[in-house]
Amino acid sequence: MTPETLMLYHSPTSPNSRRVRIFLTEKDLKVPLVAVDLGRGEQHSEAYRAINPRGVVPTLVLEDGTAIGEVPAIMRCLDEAFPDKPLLGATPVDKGLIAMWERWAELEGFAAVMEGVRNKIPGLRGRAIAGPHDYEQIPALVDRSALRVKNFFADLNQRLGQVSYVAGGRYSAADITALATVDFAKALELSVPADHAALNRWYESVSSRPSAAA
Amino acid sequence: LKLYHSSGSPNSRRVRILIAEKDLDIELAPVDLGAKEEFSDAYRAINPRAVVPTHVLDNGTAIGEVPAIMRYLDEAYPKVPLLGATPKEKALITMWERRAELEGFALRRRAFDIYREMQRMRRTRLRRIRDQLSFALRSVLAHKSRTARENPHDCPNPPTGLLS
Repeated sequence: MTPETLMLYHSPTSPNSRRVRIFLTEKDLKVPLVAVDLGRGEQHSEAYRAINPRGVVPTLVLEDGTAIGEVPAIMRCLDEAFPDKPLLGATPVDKGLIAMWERWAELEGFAAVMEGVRNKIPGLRGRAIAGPHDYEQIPALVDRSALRVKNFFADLNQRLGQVSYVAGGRYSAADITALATVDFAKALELSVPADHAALNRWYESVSSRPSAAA
Repeated sequence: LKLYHSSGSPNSRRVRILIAEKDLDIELAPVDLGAKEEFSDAYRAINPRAVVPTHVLDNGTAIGEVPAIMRYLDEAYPKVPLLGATPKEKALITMWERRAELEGFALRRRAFDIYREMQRMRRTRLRRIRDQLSFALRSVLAHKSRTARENPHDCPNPPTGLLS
């Protein structure tokens, strides 16, 4: 497997696509990108559903045509195939711990923002959950999401008061998901409170890495 | 090695099935959810989210979250891999395990997809991956069978013999 034989189907505006783009940049992998036009509903086209039946971005396609969907699965593929600069850990213990913290950032942070956005934006009426099935928005979830994001920021601030990076002493995939969450939360007009000193310090540091622009 | 779990918790069961499939000797420490033992200071010290299961290593390192525990065990004891042995297998199994977890109700569709994937693999003689997918499917079916029955899904039935 070499980077140039892979293809990443993504959208420039999709926060889930950004998680993978930051990951690629950190590992210095030059994988060809193919943009999927979400505005025109291209993710629901037959051609795209053939590689991703859920109709969501991103998808990583290997040289033999194997399609890998789901951000943590794509990250796993890339970190195992290209073990230089590991972002998911190099030992069993680190792999377990980073999987735990990346999942924590995703389920308590990223997913909470996603729930708020998908239940709030008028353009997503009837599409409150991404994927092949239609779901109506539930307005009450918008307020609950705001509370969840607020709690996530407080918990993350406490965590970063004890360690330099989300999963411990080193930059990892958990930082990528947490960074994507903080930026995505701006769509809900939620920002990190000024008194969250550790979180603000971490955010400034990870945002200044070149990968943050990916 | 010690797994803090609850016998009535489906998330604990996912890890217990993996341990049994891999034939690992791991001490089980029950957490009494009925008595809200997961919220005790002692348990929160190893799992601040106050949920089961948690896997604790000899040096005290605590790993929470089912896919993270599975990842640790499969990497530390690779003899019977259930999460894949190559980068491609690991990615495919991570993807399907996650879809089974996040979209469990759409199980019959998933089962059919997995069945087709297994047929394809049989042809290409990738027996090992097939067995792993079969494991993933069986554990999901065991976990979600009631939900699946209650949510008939508009898709072809998986052919009989799938679960053999």
